[in-house]
Amino acid sequence: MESEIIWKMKKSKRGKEQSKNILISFLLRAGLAIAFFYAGISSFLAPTNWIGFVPNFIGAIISKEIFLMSFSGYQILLGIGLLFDYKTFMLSILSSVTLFLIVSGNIMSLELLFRDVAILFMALALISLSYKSKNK
Amino acid sequence: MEIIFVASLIVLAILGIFDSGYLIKKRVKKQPLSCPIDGSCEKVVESEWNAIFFIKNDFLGLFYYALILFLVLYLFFASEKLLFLTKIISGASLLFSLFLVFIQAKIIKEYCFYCLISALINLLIFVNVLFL
Repeated sequence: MESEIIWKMKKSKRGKEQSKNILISFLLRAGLAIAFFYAGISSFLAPTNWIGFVPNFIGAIISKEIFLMSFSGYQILLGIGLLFDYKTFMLSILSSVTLFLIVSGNIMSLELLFRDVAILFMALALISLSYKSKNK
Repeated sequence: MEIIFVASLIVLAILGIFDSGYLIKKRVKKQPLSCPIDGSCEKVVESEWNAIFFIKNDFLGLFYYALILFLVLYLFFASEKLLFLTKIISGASLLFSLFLVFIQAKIIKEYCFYCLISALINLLIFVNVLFL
């Protein structure tokens, strides 16, 4: 009887912990997805506002406009994947790399991009969270 | 038309489509909802308040977000003729959401996370539409 009560308590504790993790994961994924959606959609609707953030060396390889459009599509797909909770561990690594490249490629505009550093750390938190839950 | 509000509206409409789409998927497949806050999502979505005029609220939500997405794209790319209609629709939807939150708080006495997210999205859509 006593062990049953302890088991139930443990179960409910585990249940609470699990739903807490679900909420944290949802908030991180939704936050990242909103950031990627907004950037992707806005640069698709008004490319002139965003073309300045494309590093010059990319212009030497491919037209900046084409790169921006492709990058918009990539960001929207990334956002969809995160919202769907599809391969979250891999997508959060991809998000971190993407954000790291955005920040390091525009390090001179840090006064505009400093919030991306916070988003990068959100992606890192999601890596740690999804890795942990995978091994549990 | 300010690009910031257009882009925000598109993002919100997409989030709304995901939110209501998730509820529809779980209902159709008869799978339990993973409710991340203290409260019973099941109790709310299976209550007698889950439909209006025989149309399920989740389906109504999906239709509304798809309509907002269409209207915003139309307003941005074609003409601003439908701006007033968009304001009326988003205002009515916000009122309906507030009514459903009231039902959750006072009658069902349980909260559904996804319904609260939807109400928040509707509030943000209305605010953005006002600034268009």
